[in-house]
Amino acid sequence: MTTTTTPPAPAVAGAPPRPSARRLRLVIGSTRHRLLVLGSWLVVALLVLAATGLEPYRLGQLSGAVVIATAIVGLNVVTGYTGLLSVGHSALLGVGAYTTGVLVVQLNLLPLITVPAAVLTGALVGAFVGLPSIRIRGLYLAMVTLALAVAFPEVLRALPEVTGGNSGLSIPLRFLAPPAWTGLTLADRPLWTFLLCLSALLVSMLLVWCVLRSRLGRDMRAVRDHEAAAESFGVHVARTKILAFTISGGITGLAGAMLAMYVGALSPAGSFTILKAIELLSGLVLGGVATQLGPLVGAAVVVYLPVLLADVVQGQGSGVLFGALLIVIVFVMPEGVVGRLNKLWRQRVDVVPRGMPAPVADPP
Amino acid sequence: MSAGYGAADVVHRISLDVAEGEIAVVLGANGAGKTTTLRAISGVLARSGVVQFDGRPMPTRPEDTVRVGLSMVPQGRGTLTELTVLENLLVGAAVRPRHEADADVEKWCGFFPVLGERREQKAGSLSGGEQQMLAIARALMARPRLVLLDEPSLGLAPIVVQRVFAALADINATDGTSMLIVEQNADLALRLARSAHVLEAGRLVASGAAADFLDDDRVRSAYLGGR
Ligand SMILES: Nc1ncnc2c1ncn2[C@@H]1O[C@H](COP(=O)(O)OP(=O)(O)O)[C@@H](O)[C@H]1O
Ligand SMILES: [Mg+2]
Repeated sequence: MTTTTTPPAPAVAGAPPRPSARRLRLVIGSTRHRLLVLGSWLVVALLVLAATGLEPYRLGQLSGAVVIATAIVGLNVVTGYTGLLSVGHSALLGVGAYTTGVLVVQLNLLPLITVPAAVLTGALVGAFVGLPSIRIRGLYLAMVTLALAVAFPEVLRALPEVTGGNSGLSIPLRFLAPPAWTGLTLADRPLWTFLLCLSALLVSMLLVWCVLRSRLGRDMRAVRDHEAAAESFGVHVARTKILAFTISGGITGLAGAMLAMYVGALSPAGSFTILKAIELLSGLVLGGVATQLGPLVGAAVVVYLPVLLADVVQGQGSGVLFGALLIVIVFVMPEGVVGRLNKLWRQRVDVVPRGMPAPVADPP
Repeated sequence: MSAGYGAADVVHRISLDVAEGEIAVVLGANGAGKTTTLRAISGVLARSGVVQFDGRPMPTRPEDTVRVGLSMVPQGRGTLTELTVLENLLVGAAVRPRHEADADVEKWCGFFPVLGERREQKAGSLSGGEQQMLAIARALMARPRLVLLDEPSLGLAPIVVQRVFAALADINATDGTSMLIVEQNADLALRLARSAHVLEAGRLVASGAAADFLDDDRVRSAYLGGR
């Protein structure tokens, strides 16, 4: 019972090796791995190139989907990776959109210049929403986000001098034209807007990618997995939640600024009610919670599926069919589309860092 | 020290010492207040009274208690299920500089080879025993001077419990890490520990050398249900 060997001795016999069926081994940094990564980026570049050739109406629709995807990327930071349900992201989207809208309409600033301000206000309001997590947790925090979603349109209505009240704001077209240095004309506006929205999406995804690899990202996921345990390991739970809400708010504010430029007209009843928050949540769940590509798939589903269904079914029926289809998807793939694909991928492929020994049961 | 939830105290004016390098055990039935005691010491729960560590007042927030050298193996192991084994270990080392953490990962993956083999796997895929090893290794990643262990034998097969306790004995002997273990599994815990305390309905009702508790059948049957 009381072994006193000086060098640490293995105290535990290893469990039997896991069954390893015929799996593909992919070593990070190997030629095969590099080719795969390169190939994926090539496909992405080709898709973007193909998209720029779409007719203006289709391109506009795609910009809308890209904006929704960006907002879902933001939502994913709190709800996906930190495990905090937010039904208030419609308001964060609105804060960003109205920051751009108000600054352009009231102060005649160029929309592009207002983007950092939209990110900042989104982040500030996000931090403010996260602040109660110092004292409260669980569903109570979700209630705070719900209150924000409900209050936001009313706040807009209560400040008509700034926000245009019920009738909202409309950004004059001259502000939305591509700037001269791009060489694009007013007729190219859909392309310009699309490229802006796409850049915003890529920057947001890159930011989340970096956060996930940082200590903060690890803490966020630790809080999500087991908050009480994480706290006892010394993870600063409240600070982690507030930072997650701040980053999430900044990204969603950025999406809002893009929305303002893409739509050109903002109103309280438009895109910033709780219905939008639910749309974002549905997209996140469908695409895959806590996956990096899930927001893209989710946005595509919530933006395009209703359009496709409207072609098939007339009137109210399409809404019902949309709801029914969402339930079916969630039932068949509870981990979301990308979550399911990741799972299938992991079942077939081992991605291992260079220098890891091959599994014993699987001789090379 | 006293502690509880809201206005009502669950643990009443208990007093105990853990000497440097010692393993102490607190025995008690379900609901006696063992978990509450550990959580209060680590700062997760509010407490009243005095808790001293190395002659200084113990900080009251968990981030700070970890920093001064206290770490916790929580009840139910506290596995961060969606994080990899490696990430679980690094969470434990949040207060250490990165190069020390990397060295300690190698050390504990060597000590618990199962963890080394599974370091890139999600911790939730480990067996109960493996998760308990992970919980212990995670706690040690902070390079603590005192580890609080909340029922490390809970839900494990007897043979696995023996391995876990053997590992604890080994770590204590090699590194001199002090441990405060709360347990319902009296026999094994008393064999491992030097001093023992019995907690009953939130009050300490007996304290002494662990060996005395093992030998004294009356003490055992009175406090430990005859185990
Ligand atoms: N979160 C909580 N809120 C209120 N009471 C609690 C909570 N956790 C435990 N208790 C109560 O405190 C008492 C001691 O619990 P605990 O410390 O978990 O006991 P043990 O770990 O010895 O089984 C029990 O009566 C239990 O009902
Ligand atoms: Mg307990």
